[in-house]
Amino acid sequence: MADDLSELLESALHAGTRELGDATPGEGAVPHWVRVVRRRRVVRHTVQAVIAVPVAAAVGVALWFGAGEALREGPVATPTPAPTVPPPTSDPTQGTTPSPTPDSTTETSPAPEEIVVPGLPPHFVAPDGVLSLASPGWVLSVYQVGDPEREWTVDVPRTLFLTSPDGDHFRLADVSVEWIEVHHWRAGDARARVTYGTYEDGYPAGHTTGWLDLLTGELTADERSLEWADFLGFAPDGDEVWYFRGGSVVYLVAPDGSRRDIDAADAGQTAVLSPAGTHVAVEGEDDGVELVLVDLGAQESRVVPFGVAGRSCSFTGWLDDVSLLVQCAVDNPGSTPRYSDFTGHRLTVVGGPGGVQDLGALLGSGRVVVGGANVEHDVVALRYWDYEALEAEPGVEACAPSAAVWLDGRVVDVPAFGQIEGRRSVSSMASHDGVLYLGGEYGCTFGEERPLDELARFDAVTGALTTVLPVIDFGGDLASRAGIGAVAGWVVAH
Amino acid sequence: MAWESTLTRVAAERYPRLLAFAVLLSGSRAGAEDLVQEAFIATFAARARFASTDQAEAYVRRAIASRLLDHARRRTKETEVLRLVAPLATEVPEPTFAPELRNALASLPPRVRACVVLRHLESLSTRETARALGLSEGAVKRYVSDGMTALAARLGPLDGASERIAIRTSPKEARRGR
Repeated sequence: MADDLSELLESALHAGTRELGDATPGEGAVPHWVRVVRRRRVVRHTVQAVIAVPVAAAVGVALWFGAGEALREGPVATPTPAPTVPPPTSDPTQGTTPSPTPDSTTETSPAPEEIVVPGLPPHFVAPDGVLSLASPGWVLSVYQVGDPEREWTVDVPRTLFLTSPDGDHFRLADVSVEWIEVHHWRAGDARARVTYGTYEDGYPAGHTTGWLDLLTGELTADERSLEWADFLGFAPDGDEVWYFRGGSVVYLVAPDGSRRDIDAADAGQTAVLSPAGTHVAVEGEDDGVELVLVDLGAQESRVVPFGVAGRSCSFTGWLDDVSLLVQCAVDNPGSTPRYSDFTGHRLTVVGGPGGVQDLGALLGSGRVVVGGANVEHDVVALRYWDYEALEAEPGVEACAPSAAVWLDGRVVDVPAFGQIEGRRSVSSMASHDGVLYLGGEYGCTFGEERPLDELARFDAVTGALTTVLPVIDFGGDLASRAGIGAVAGWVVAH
Repeated sequence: MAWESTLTRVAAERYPRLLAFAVLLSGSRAGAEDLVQEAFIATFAARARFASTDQAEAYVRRAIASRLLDHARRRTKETEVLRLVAPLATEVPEPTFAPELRNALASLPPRVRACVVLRHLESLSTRETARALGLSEGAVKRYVSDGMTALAARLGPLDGASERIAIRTSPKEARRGR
């Protein structure tokens, strides 16, 4: 459509091109881009080539331990071979799976065989009734081979897994879909809440909210789309709470599918549901000065000013049912370091007189908090950038956020997890029953959303760190796996 | 390899134009450089094949708009942190071209800005814009309409700015349209 604006934009682009005519990407930039692109393309090609011929390698025979008491003691159904899994060998000398010592008090069932398929975690075929045996704390995940982000061809398989608290993986159905996000799953249910869609020419072309049948892989769409809304959690009455950033609207979706919309005024991008499920805090359009508080019970929103004089602030998450954790720093534009003197503050926004309470240095010097997840009352997990490390190693190669847990004034660092030293990024967090779950990925992804490489569970009180979903060994150099992930979605059963 | 020579050629021959395009979208030189770098990597890592330099440049421009929205959509604070270092290292002067138009664009939310630029500068259809940005076609129509109205308020009457599209209007959108 030729119009005034098109002409204005075209003219501005010409003027800008002339003005910036001497601009170059910078010394060494283009070779660096080529190296990054080459690495991603080589790794993707390798992964796809491996998966194109899914030769399953059976490993040794493992006795049936660690899958939960009910599974261990109960009769194990005859496994139904998955379509891509050939019959395993029975030569125990070929195995890599450690064989635990049998419990002499338990009659051991016939040992199911752990199956290893390239691109998937070592797993067992799910026995009949596995869904009904799962309890809160089990993890439902979607594995994919390769990374469909920005891919022109996305016909890679998606496979559902259930993972017990003991770390055993059970393969469920395959899903025919180009991308999928898992939002919530109640232990025992045959369906999980999902959003899914398609790609065209490398870009998302469809976006549907619906339900995924865990045993068949079938997807059922909602009659009414929620577009690009983010699932936040549940309200006290059981309604789903969603936030649509595109329209700054909070959706309350009842179990019968009916929807109520609450306008979040001039809200910004980041929205967090309170632990009680009664309020949503959304960053304001002018982040650092105000936030928008949505009262789900009253179905209304209001702007809440916050901040500390002379400091740049942002809220990171809920400390408890009524107050938020805010981090502030002195902003020194044009100086190095630009930000200094980081402090934490409790901002009470629900009930009571409100106000800001000083919490001291929060995570300590030079740690910039970029996200939080409430674990328990006055316990918050925080993702942060080590600002001082960034300054020591400028540029995107240093992008790797870490995590720590703030327990009522005490800071517990999450230890490094995974198989690769360094370069680990904590890219997502969630909590269940006082335990923190951390999604990890490797390498710098330039801010792209992509599948996880691994998932770990961390108990801040005991310091116990456990791998839940392991890094998939595609073969070759694991450290070159930037841009590749295996876990497209995960959720802890509630 | 073919893609490497295409990437190198586009970078050598089209960088100023791509940077100017990114400045229109991002509002700053530093932010624009980040977007161009990310767009190059995303475009060529996606294993696309390009018949010409013009076609490759067009895909990089789409990726610049897509990256802008990704920054706004995801990990906004991480991106801010990454940028804390880069501006200090480069210290480049801000461009001065088309200040009135750039200020007007900068006043729009990123998603609205991206839709307006792809529709009216790149001449993409509503469907193509929706695909490039991961939005629904209804959202693209709404954002373009909102953007045109807001730009007309700052720049004067524009062809098409008075068009309203029959779509669902939320209270927020009604306020913004006033």
